[in-house]
Amino acid sequence: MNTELVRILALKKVLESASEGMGMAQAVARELRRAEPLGRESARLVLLGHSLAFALRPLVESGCEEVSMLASLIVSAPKSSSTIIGRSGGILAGTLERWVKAKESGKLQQKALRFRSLVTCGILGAVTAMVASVGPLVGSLDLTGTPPPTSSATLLYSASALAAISSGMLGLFMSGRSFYLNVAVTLGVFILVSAIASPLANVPTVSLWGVK
Amino acid sequence: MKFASLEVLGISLWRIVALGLSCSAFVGIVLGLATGDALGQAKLATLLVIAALVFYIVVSSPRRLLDQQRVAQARESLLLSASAQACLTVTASRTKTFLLIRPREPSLGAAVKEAGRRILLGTDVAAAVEASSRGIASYSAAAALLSVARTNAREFVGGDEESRGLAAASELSMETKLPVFMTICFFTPIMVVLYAVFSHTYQPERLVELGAFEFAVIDLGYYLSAAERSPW
Repeated sequence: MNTELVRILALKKVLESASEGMGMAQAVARELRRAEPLGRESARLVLLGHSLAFALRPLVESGCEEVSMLASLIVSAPKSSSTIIGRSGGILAGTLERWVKAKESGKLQQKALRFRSLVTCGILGAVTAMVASVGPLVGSLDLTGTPPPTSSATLLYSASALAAISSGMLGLFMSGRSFYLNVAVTLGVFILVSAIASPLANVPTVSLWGVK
Repeated sequence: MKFASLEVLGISLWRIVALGLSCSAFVGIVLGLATGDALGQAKLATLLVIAALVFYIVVSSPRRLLDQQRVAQARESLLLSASAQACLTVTASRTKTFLLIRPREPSLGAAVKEAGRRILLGTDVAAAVEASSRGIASYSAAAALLSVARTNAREFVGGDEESRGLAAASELSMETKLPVFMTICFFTPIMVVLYAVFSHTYQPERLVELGAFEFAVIDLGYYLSAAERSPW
């Protein structure tokens, strides 16, 4: 199960125990002891005699906003009443549980979108390589009689750089730090397609001036 | 653009317009120098379009900031409501409740602190909270505070519905913007390479200029598409 969801469920149990009349520190020590390492650490700190605010700091600063919210509510118990915090926290825990599940399904969607961006980068690499390889040949088919400049190697390198910039930005947008995967896919496909299309790129250009 | 965002964030309209104009002029000049003569006759029109987009990005940034604040406050309103309800039940005092609650979200915390200050100065609780809740972007958070201040209510006023609405709006926005950004990323390098091929632009310095142009276009697309943020 998702760690964040495990933490939410453990904190929900703490609130349920508190709403039944148990002291908040006792509920933390009893319920979080069975939870994952961060919860066990909090239970250990409570048993060592530290305050709730200090003991639950690892959960408050865990990085997950939902867990942090629920832990903050438990920390605020000494200011009011454990029983009432337990009751009102029950509703909050239910909502936060739904949020964590929604976040989890969002992550799955994000994975599918990342795959889609990798496919797009692959196609981009192929199309750019094809245009850069065959383009000078097609561009040379003019009827003006002026010899076209032939510098397909420069164009090939530039096209690969242009495709890499574009796929890097797409990767940055879709998957953040793992953008290098998009760049690698684009450049890999680019090299492969340009190697396949190189015989076409090396066809000598013929001036069509005067050809009937 | 909603001018309410400027009021909430305390930014002058003329200042943001001046900032937008200077940013767009700066980007236009820098891009004009970076692209050189690579774009030919289309250079002026292209630079004007890019400068206009930069102006839009700068001028609409307060609205995006406010949207982000709203998302954070709508989430925080759940915790605020639960803790305020508990405090109110225990203390049976609206004044003490407002002096005890400490929201984690900075702008919401500032509003509650301001309300507490007014209450200590002798203002009526409802009037103090109403005055300080004008700067709150999320209606759930404002409703949570006002329900405690006005009606002495002990019911739970959550921000779940607002968060769901914001999430749905964000998803819809991403569904529109993502294909647009993918299209920009896919077609820009292809079109630039085709332009280089058919204009016989093979000199390395001209190709570098075209690269700078491509980067500017994709970067603008990135900023225009990455504006929204989902609550989860």
